[in-house]
Amino acid sequence: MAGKRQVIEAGMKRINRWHGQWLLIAAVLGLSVGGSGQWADRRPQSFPPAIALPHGPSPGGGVVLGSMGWAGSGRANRAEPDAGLWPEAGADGQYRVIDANRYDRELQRAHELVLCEGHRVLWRFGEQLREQALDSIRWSAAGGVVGRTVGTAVKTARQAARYGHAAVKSGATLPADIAATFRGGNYSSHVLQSDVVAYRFSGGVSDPAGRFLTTQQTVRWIAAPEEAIRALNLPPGATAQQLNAFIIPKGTQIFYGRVEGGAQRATQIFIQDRGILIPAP
Amino acid sequence: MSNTDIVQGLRGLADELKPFTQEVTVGSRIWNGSAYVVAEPRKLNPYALAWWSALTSMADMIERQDAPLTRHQFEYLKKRLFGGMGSLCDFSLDIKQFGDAAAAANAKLDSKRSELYKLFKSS
Repeated sequence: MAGKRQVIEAGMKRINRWHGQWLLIAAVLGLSVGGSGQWADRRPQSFPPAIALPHGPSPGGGVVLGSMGWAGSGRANRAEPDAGLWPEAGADGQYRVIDANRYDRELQRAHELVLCEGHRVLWRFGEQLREQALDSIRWSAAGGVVGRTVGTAVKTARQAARYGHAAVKSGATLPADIAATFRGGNYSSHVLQSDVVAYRFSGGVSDPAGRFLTTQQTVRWIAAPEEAIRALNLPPGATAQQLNAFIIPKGTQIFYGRVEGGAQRATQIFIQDRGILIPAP
Repeated sequence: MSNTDIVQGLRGLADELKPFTQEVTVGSRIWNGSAYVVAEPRKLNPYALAWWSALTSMADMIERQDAPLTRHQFEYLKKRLFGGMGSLCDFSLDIKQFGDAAAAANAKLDSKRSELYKLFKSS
């Protein structure tokens, strides 16, 4: 009787160790497949129902979503390489049921501890990944801002270089009535060193050719006469129904700056003699 | 700034444009102030005609107004005359088309417009 008891206890210890190992493996495997659900995919996770523990049937008997469940006959639904680890059934066949129930509770507790720890690890890992992802987004956004800033700077530098090549600064001044058409009376004066294409909106009392022109950059974002009227602060009677392109030949003195009462980024060019304008093809 | 000063300024500008508002064909005679005389054929400038018409109408309207200009009238005139593209400041005669007469007229237009601007600026 005592020998039988010793055999049973030894078997119990083996089962305990065996169950612990499998539980740990299964917990890690399950968590690896299912994840913690806290940082990544928020869709319902499906655990493969084939993952099953080779110990007694679960209390519910079914496989609940997100849980590791029992599948099949009370054994792992595969070959039994470790069947020898199972103890012999008792003479009355009862011990296994009793022990299984007892171990279920213990194992459930151990399982929960493992799961909790696993969740904590995965949660920390998820948080780390999430932070990295957010950092990546922040850097991307910052990179975008920096990129845009650099792009703008490069564009400005390119424009400055182009105008630098195309024009020589001059200290010429304009009469007060013309100067007042520039925002705050501020304008720059240059003598063009190469031909420059400029544009005019005309219609109504406004001649296709004239002394005021605008740049390609300004025309690019004007899509309708109303926008041209607002952007360039055209007076009543100027309908901007027509857009005209001209070449301002090199050697021409131009005055340019922002438009008084016009859009923030609209540029206007003034020339003394409209006769020098060459219609652009 | 009195209405009379503005009217004079507007009429002065219109006078500079007047020669370019009529077409002279071969054999046509034009009034020189004392008689109809034969003149060189010349095309009209439609924009000079438009501005002459506008300036004359402005002057006529102000001349018939007893009260000083309202702020809205003042702003309207200022924008039409001294705005940027499309305003009277934008307008000049094509010297290639009208020759020296256009150059002289442009110089006078600039001068008279600047005088008128002083009236508006002082207000």
